[in-house]
Amino acid sequence: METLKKIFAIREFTIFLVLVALMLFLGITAPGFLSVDNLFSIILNVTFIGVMACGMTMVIITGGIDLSVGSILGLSGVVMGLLMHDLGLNPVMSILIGLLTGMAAGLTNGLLITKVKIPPFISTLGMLSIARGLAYVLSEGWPISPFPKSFTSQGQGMVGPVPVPVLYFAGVAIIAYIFLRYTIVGRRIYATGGNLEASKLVGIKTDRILIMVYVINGLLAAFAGFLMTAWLGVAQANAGQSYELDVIAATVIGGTSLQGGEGTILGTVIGAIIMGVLRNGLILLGVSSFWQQVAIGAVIIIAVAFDQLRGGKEG
Amino acid sequence: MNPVLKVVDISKEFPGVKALDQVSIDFYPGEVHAIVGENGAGKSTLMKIIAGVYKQNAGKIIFKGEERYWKHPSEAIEEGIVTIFQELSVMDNLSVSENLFLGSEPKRGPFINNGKLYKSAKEFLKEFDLNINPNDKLKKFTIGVQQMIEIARATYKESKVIIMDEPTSSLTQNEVAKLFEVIRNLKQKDVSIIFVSHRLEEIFEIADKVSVLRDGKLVETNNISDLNRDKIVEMMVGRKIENFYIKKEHEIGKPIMKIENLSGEGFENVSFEVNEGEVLGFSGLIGAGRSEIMETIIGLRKKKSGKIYVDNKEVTINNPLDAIKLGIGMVPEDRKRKGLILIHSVKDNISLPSLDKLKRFRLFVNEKAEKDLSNWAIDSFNIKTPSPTRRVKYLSGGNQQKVVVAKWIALRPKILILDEPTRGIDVGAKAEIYELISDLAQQGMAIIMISSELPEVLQISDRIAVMAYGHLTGVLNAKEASQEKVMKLATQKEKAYA
Repeated sequence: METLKKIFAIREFTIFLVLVALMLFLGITAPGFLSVDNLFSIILNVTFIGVMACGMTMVIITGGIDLSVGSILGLSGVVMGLLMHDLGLNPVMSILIGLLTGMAAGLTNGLLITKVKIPPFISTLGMLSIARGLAYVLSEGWPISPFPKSFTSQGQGMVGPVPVPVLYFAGVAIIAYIFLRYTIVGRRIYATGGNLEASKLVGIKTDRILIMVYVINGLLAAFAGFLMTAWLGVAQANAGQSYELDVIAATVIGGTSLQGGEGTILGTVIGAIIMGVLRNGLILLGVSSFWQQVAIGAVIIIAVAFDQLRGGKEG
Repeated sequence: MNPVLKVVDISKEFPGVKALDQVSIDFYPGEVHAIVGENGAGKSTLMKIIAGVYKQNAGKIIFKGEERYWKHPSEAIEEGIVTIFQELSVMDNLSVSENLFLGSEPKRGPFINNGKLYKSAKEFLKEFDLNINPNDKLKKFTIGVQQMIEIARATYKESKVIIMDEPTSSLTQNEVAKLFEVIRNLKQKDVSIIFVSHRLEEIFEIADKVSVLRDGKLVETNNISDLNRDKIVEMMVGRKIENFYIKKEHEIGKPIMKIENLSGEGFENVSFEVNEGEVLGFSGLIGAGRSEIMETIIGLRKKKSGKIYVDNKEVTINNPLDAIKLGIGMVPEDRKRKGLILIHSVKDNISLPSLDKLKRFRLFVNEKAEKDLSNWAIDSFNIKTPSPTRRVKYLSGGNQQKVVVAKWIALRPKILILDEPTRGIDVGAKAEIYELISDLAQQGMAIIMISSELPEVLQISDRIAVMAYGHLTGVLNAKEASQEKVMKLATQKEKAYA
């Protein structure tokens, strides 16, 4: 009984139950939902959001928000594409420079937030526009392709039945999980979000923690840009448009508190999968794409409301 | 006379804890009724039920002869039950006058009459001897001032019952005297006052009746004339406390930190020294600049000028991390805002400053060592918590304070600064904190303790530094110090500016 209580007290478990219930429902009602092919295609669709949501989890744990991730995805994809296609740079170097672009955008966010003291919502809103604009400037609005096979295989290849991007997603999630859960820096991220003043007083350099978190978030957005460009085989300035909303939704459904100080990668991954399952299931059920949006919005609100009500009771 | 308010057989359970168990008390108009008990005895819970913040699981509230249920705290307030909570409920982003008249602002047509607001606030503040500008934002002021504003606000309304939960915990002697004057006036107006306090001296000064709670149960309600201090303490803890203040003999060693002509925001030209194994008390009125000095020493505020020496070497402290590296730790005054991460567990709070010492494979937290550390702290500081993973926000004030002290001691600092370490905690927990301070001094730690409670400073300190208006007006040897001498220095405006 005690252990059962403990299991139910774990936040992620409730979210997991929601996922299971959702899958059971769709398994019965939607033909083909539970096929292996379909399940992997769900995970593949979740990958890009999921990778970014790992970074977003850290940002939201510090009590912040980052609206610029979708744009950073687009910008770094374009940077990688131009380097390979127009300059003929080798894929590895191109990817590295693309990732650095994302980190630079994240660093700018972090510095604006900590040193210039612009609230995260505003500074990253500015970056949303700047990064997207730069992506259009650099690409002049044209799609960029083709790319070397060694690059596109990172997005289109398979290892057995598993798409390669899914493996990257798993890798990112595991590293992020260990980083947040088990390292000293991870603890300090939670502490900074839980109480900034108290954290400063115990000697945590909270500015550094915040800057680092935004840099990581920029890096992961750029990494999602790499995966998406490789998967599509084309770099486009409008890639990842309005993804920030799905990323934030996945994180929040996963139990990360917008107040800061709480949240886990495990919850976020489950949250991202719930989003993917829902999208996929609604398509299989033949729900029109307009109603899909309504349904997804409703689920976000229900999930957070559920968590709020539960949180209020906890002793 | 009939009681204005009766609580009958009130019980309240929280998950895993029975906070109140069939408590019945009658409150009469024109009476000051003190509620005492140790941390976690259920005092605050009872007050919150009366005020409509919590709902009881069983029992009745009878107000003016009728059984009442408050759907919301605002209903209780409308009926004239006003509470001054231990946690401040003033809006620190608003001005003093806006706080005072919140919801009852003088109006001119649909607009707030700002001129009148300012004038009435000014007059009202005068009654409380608060010489501050009503247009200043409240966050500019110390907790003590904020608390006075909150009390003033409650007395301004037409109240039948005023609940004061630890109203004096951040006030100085003078302010307390002022408050008691206000309370006596309220008694004349037949207001019933429920007074929750840990300070027994105050209860004997102001209360007419005393109800003692222990472990959620009412022990007894008595007239104050039938009680004495020892009796109350005995009822509270359920056993006799022999030596209430124990000061262990400790040897004072060599100087460890020297402050020379330090100036910063709120204080000027302060010099003092503290030695190993010494408890240096810092006394003074609220706003004298004591907390500001300490926050400057540990690098939380910028200094304007002056030098800091540790171990005879001049040091530069730009941030709290520099201070920690030099062996200086600080337990802040406002434990909820600056001391704790309320939503995190007891264990995580305790280990936070020590994480660098709990390393494994360079980057990782050694969770075994962390668990040992928090278990050690819970045992040796007698922190009452159902488990190390319980969030600190669910602990009582005294136990929260022990967590803050414990997390610093775990770092083994050479110099520990304590800012109002016993604010809002009960006698039992206070005695434990005093003993702890004594022990630490005995082990050679230098302790700087800011306290606005004179008996406490006099009892615990070896030397007492007194501040007034941002200046250090004198340092007394504890043996020659008395309340009168300290108060004289604390109010000495002339010499301070000379």
